[in-house]
Amino acid sequence: MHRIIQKAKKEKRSLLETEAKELLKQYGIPVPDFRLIKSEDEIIGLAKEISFPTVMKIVSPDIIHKTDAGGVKVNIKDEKEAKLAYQEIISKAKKYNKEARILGIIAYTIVPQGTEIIIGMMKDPHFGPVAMFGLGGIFVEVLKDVSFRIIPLEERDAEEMITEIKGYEILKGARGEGPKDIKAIKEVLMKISKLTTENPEINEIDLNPIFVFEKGLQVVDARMIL
Amino acid sequence: MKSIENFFNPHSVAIFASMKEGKTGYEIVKNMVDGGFMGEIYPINRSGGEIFGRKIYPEFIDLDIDLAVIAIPGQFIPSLLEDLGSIGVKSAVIISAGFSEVGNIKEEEEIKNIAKKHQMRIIGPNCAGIMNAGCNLFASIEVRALSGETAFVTQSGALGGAVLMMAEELGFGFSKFVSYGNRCDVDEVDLIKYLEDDPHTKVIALYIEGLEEGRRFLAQAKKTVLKKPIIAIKAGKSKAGMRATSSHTGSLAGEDKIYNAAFKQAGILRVEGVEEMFDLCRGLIHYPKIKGNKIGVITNSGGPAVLTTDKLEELGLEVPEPSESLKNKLKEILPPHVSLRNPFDLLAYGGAETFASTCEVIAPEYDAIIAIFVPTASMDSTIIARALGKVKEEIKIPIFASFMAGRLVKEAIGELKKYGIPNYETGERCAKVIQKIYKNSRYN
Repeated sequence: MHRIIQKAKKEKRSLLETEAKELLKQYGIPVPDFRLIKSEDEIIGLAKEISFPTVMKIVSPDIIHKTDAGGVKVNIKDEKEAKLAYQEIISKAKKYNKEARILGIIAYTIVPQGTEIIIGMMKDPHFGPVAMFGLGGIFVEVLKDVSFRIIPLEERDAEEMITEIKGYEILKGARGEGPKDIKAIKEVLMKISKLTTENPEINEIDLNPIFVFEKGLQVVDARMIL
Repeated sequence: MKSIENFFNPHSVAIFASMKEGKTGYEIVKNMVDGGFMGEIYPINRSGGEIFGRKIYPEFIDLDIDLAVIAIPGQFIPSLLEDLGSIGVKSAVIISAGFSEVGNIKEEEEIKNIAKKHQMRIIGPNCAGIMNAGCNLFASIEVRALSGETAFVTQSGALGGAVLMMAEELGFGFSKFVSYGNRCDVDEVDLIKYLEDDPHTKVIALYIEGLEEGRRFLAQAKKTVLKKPIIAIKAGKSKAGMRATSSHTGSLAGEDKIYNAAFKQAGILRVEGVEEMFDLCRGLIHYPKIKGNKIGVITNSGGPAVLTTDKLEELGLEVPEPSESLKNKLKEILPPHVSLRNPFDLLAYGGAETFASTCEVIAPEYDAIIAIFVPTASMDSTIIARALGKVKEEIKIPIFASFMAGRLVKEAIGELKKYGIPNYETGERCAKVIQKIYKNSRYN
């Protein structure tokens, strides 16, 4: 069992955002540079490790809806702002839920807005692990324009998952934009298939959103449920 | 797979049921006798007596029984199975209902365990029986299937019966028919595996309500489709995915979407319903593959050809123009007024000779041909059918037909059938079949 999963299991919780992103990194799936900050002092020197501006978010197994808890601050420009944000997030989170275990704050580099996609995994009672793909925003929320395949995926499956959604036209390049990096999406799907197969303890995955660019992509937010 | 083989090619069949007129046993024995089963038939009931000139056996211990067909009340089944097991019977079809489908899981478990102990295989319970048209085995209460090349495997007995009735009307036959009911032992995976190597089956058609072991099914289907196509009707499309999940992904994954994905991955052709299943089976029996998406349409009538072309293009197939050199070849064989474009509208010149030679000339540039024919006063559709049948053997690509319509072309359709050309009532239905076969051919 992966040590990250082992630790979470022992503490009877799902993976933290930082842990999920660490796991993704280990499988070669691109995530923006991030750091887990456990105290205000750790902000000193942060600029040397990750580049500003950043997003700061509460890391707590007990706070699922982070925005509602006042646990998210965006567009933090330097270490000074980061310190203020840190104090604010911690105090709001404590007010929101006195009992919550607060493990720190994740700071990650803001990446430019790309085309939003979502990749996920869930387990079906009869077919086992299933991968999902779709475009983000209204495409998934309203139109439910998503595709599924049973894991493990073959290259052909990953390819079809991408091309069979209606929104594929957007990925090919629409309204004057260039085509998005479809090869990179395919790679993430194949790696999620591998990650799922090698870590059967994970029951659900949401990579939402992922920003896709003409070259490359970045997984901006990640959830993994044990 | 020998254990499954025994169900379909038994030397003797014993029927355990009430033999009174109108009762299940009576109907099964009638089917077996009228169908001309080649082995021994043993009607078994304590009453004794005779049925259709056959002796009804009050005892069975001394009989050499290969297959037992059981339709007695459920509570007597466990002890019957024990007895059958002790005399070495290896296969039983249990038609009787009242088991897990009504919540009676305990009794179903019991018969499962008895069968296991005696290494006996069971189809059912709660099923409509099995048929093998090849050896006139009709161990079922349903109408006897005509002989054909499609194996039909159904989870619903009632739907199975309805399909057999409809097939009879259409003159559509089956190699095997299996209603597997509650699948307490033999399930769809065992059956697919057996049918994969059955030389009499060219196409496997499934009616599924739900799979227990999805991954096992997927693995088997992936292998089977390399040898022969599988078509599936999956009921329960509208049922929302009722699962407890906390992720976004889970909330988006309805049961039907998962089945769709699994079927695609396995290379199974999913159809909406029975009508489409028949259409596709009739195509696949003759043409398991279509290599490309360029379709040539030959017609003697503009309207139906335009509708067909519209449908083909809507489905992502192409109806491309012929090359210049092909046009020149066509010029040599066609009367001067005929357009040299696809669809090739032969107008009133569309006689047997012209239809056949046009097929032959265009075949090298297309992946499949649809021949549409609407009879006129001067043209005999049966002669056209025969001409197409003969040209089919010459060319290397599939020919489909849409002879329109009804009793006007009944005889011609019979002629097409002799030559193995599937006919569709409309070109649009034909287009759908071609698209499904083509899409599936890309992988297998």
